Amino acid sequence: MKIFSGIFRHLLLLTGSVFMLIPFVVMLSTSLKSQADIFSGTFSLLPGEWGATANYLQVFTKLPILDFMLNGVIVTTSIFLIQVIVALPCAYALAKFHFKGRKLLFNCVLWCLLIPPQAVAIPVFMELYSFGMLNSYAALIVPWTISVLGIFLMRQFFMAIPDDIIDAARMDGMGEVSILIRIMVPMALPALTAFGILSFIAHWNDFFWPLICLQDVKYFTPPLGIAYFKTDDSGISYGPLMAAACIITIPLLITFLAARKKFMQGVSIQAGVK
Amino acid sequence: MASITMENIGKSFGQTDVLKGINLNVHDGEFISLLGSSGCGKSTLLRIISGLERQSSGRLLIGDKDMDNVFPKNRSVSMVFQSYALYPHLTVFENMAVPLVMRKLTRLQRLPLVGRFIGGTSSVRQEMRDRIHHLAETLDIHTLLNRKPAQLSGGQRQRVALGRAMVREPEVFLMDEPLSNLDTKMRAHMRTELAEIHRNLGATFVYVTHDQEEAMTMSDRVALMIDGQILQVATPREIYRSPVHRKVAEFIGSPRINILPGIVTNPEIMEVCGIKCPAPKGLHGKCFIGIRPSRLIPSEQASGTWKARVTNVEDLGSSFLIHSTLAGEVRTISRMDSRSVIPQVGDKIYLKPQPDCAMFFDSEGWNHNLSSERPAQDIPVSALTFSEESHESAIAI
Repeated sequence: MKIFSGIFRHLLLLTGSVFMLIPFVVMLSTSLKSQADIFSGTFSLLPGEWGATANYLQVFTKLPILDFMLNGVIVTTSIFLIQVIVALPCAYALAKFHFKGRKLLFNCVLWCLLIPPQAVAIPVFMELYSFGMLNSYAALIVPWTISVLGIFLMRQFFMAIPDDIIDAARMDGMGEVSILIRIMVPMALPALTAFGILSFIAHWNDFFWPLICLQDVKYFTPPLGIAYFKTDDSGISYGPLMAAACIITIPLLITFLAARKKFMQGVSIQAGVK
Repeated sequence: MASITMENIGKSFGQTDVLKGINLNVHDGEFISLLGSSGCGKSTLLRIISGLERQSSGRLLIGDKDMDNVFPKNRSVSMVFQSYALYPHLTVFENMAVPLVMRKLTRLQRLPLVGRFIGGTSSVRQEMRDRIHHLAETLDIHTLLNRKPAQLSGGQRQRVALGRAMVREPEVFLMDEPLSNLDTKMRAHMRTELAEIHRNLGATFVYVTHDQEEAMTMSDRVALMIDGQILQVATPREIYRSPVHRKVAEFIGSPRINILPGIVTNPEIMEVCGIKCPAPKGLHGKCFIGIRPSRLIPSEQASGTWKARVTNVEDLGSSFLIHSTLAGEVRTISRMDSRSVIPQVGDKIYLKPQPDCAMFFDSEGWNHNLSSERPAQDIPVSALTFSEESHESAIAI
């Protein structure tokens, strides 16, 4: 019985992971094929006609892909840094200070989690327009600087840190800012890493917002940049498009693999203080 | 060094009064225990002394200085927490260095990388290192300085917490049940060690505990708290021998003191559990007498004793505890030496109080012998025996 349930469980997980992996496999395999092979009507995992060299070469010659990626790095790191600067004090206050309206404020944070970013896109667009900030790095960064998800995540993690440690820090002569920087943040590093990865993935992959607020190619982020292959006069060049998609996925993979352990600590329920 | 003066300190959380007018003087260099069951407000009082909590009313002075609006970091006070509250991400050395870093270095000097190039930083840091190493050696944790708290045992963590409190040489040490997370053996060991540390430092110690043994063995004085009030402040000997209130008598001493209900029928005669005995002058109406378990032991003779039935016998090795029931379902405990003849469960025995051991509490629970309004005893109670109709002789207490 136990073996059966184990097999069943793994079968279920396997199905799920295959379902998740298929798009990536197709992306990778398409990036290796020539245009003719792609449109050949039959699907094979391995390329019938080797097109990888041409495809990848085309990505680097036809597109300023490195510039796009640099833009991506600038935008995502700025967003993350500002998000952290905003979220940490908010989360600390919500988790550890007792003040009037704390519950209400925290509820506001929860409600904000429910608002889809698309819903407020147009008002934000108008706002940026009236400040003359459209079509710039600022337009990409500013709307995302306050992350309610970040506040929520960090607040949950801070809640798990015993009050005694904070009191001890106060007795040891720390002010609240010192406590936050010297005690809370180092202890909450797993949660911060998890949030960092979530934030990085979300904004690196974001297609919707850059598409709305940018016109100038020099600010283009990777997903918007590779869409160039789509608007080509000759139709959609799938091979180079997929090759570019593969390339821009690499930084994500590297970051995730590097921070995998901390990420899992951060998102698992047992995370906290021993 | 510093004395601590509490004047009428009150604390309420919303509607509930946790502390009700605490008046307490802690002398310079004294080891005082705040003893009480959980929820009696002893930890709150400690937090008020530390500055982590503010009193709702009253005044707190440390070393004759009013502590109103003085932040914890500006008081010369260290605290050891029940959970030790070590910083899990720092090594033992770094944990112990925190109080010094925050006090001895300026904000600029504390900056990473840049800080070390600011004048004087390195000499201060060297001084700190020396002090920590020296202290670690006296606490016997010098081999652990590079470990993280998670790699330490309970006793070791306890020492690190002590070290962190001691390193900046405060005038007052506050301890919030620091030994309660240790096993019995370690606890007994740390008790002697703490007492030694206190003697060597000569600082003022305020020690919160619910364990009377800890309070009695280490303290110069014990302050017994019940329901947000201090009922008695006295030396361990005094608080055991002459508790001011029935509740104090019940709290101090293990096993618990036997409290027998009585009623004064005629002047200076009271009836306790069916037996008449002399009552001190001035006691009237309902009252209680208290007899320690080691003073209420089985006897051969039927006269002048309480008839009882044994309900349980506990073997403690060195002694036995005899649980028995008197007339009127009053339960008592007697402690007997293991060499004496031990009764069995169900046996009928006679319980005889030893002379001069009874405490008399009035109907409100106050110790009658200590009530200052009334005249002191003229005749020792033990000298009196009364004859009485139902029994051949009355009881002598």
